[in-house]
Amino acid sequence: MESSISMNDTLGFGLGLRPQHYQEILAGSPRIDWFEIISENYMVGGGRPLHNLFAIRERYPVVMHGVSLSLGSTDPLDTDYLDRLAALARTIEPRWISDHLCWTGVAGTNIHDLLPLPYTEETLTHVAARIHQVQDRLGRPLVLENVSSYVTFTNSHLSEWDFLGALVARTGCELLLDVNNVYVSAFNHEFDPMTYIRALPATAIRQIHLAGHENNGTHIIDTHDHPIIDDVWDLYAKTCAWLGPVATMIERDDHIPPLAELVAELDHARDIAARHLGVPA
Amino acid sequence: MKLAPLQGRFQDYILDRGDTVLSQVRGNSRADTSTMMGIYHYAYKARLVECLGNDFPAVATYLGEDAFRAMAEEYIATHPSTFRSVRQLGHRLGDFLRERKAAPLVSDLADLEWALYEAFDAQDAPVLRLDHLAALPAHGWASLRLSFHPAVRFLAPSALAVTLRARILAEEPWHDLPKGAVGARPLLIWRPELDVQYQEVDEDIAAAYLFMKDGGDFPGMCDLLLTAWGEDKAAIRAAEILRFWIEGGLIEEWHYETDSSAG
Repeated sequence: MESSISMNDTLGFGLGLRPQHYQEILAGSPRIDWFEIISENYMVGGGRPLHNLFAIRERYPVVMHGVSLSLGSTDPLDTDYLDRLAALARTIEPRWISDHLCWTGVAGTNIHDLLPLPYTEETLTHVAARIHQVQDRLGRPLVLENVSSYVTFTNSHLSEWDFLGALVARTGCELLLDVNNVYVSAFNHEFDPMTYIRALPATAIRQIHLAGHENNGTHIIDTHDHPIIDDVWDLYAKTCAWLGPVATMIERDDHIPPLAELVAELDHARDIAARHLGVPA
Repeated sequence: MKLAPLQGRFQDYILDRGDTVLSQVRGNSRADTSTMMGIYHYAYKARLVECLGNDFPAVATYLGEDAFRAMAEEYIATHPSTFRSVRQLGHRLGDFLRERKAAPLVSDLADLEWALYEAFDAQDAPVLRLDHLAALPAHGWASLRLSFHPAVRFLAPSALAVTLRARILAEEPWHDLPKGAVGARPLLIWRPELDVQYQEVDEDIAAAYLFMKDGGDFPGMCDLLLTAWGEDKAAIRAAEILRFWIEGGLIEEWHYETDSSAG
């Protein structure tokens, strides 16, 4: 499966769709180009969540973002989950479908967290095989997001960026570059974030995430409950200069503010992108 | 170490089942391995307790923050999630509270909140309308069976749980409610379109619902009502109940034998 993203695939600037904002979105025309949904929140039989999603889908492009594929787990891939994901995709017709480079549990348990992987040849072979399985089922490239992490494994012999690059090369998957996650992991694991971003296969980067976090001095926790900090905006500016136009979206999962506040934050992203696209950092 | 045992050890650390993963991971020059693994450990419980609090707001308020957290952590330890969606996490909370010998009112409250939650995003389906009744041929009544809408739920909780939940969510005083008293009125929950409704119902409606839900036919439902209503009024009462269900949007479809000789 070949990955080739054209300029036309750049959706612009989007937000995560959250129930708190349904009414306001449907009542007006907020300056938002597209929405990203948490896939699992809409893998339900019916009722108000799907009703609102269908109404919003009529007016905006939507992409699906999952948190439970557990691509890196050594448990068998959950084919029932995959079937339900494919069914939702048939209904919603998202522009793309993403999930994370992580695992969420083993032995049948779901920790409901995005847990880190050791970057070894064994993991690479394992995850690549599962990406192939997912892409075959979905009939499209999977878009894979880098997660924030708090530990590294002593047996890792690849960097995360080389690991992601190898996955793209082996599977044709695409990437969701979470700039905040790069910042968080760079702080936690003491590497240069632009080394990470420059090393990724740029043509495979389908989407960018931006979010807030909590800095505890010795480490950063990826909380998605704060506004984006200046350092992450700076990293986003450098990323724009490096990559050119990429669909960009702001994630807020807790302490969700009024929509206008997020739209203003999104306008800031537009402004930064306009000023830095293609400008050497 | 191979990936599978490494993930097993990592998960064991999160679930308080061992710390052998600590020799396989590292933190950074500012924060040691235990501190950094502690983030995953803390986040697991915090996230799931928060999720249960969101799904069971009245139970959380009734128990209070500390007692609810302790109960929720025990529940999570007893029933770790096996679901892809965290939305399913609380599916056994009512049973868990009963096994734990919590006050009946608390488990009733949990059952009520879970049933409302299930009805909220249950499968969409068309509902039968009263004008469809005109299309039912006379012989159809003898074999009439009903399929209830997927959102319909039946509970036999205490009436107090309904009152308690309503007061808690409306932020009205609720501490003065008699904690020990357990009423017995059954509850029907349904979702006519997008908004979940519920109503306490009489015992005969509850009995008729359970009979028809299990595949009973309309004549059988009339027989069921004979004891309470007598021969003169049982059929009328059955028609009233059917009308209530149809007008409320509780019936997805009906079935009857097309052969008039069938019964």
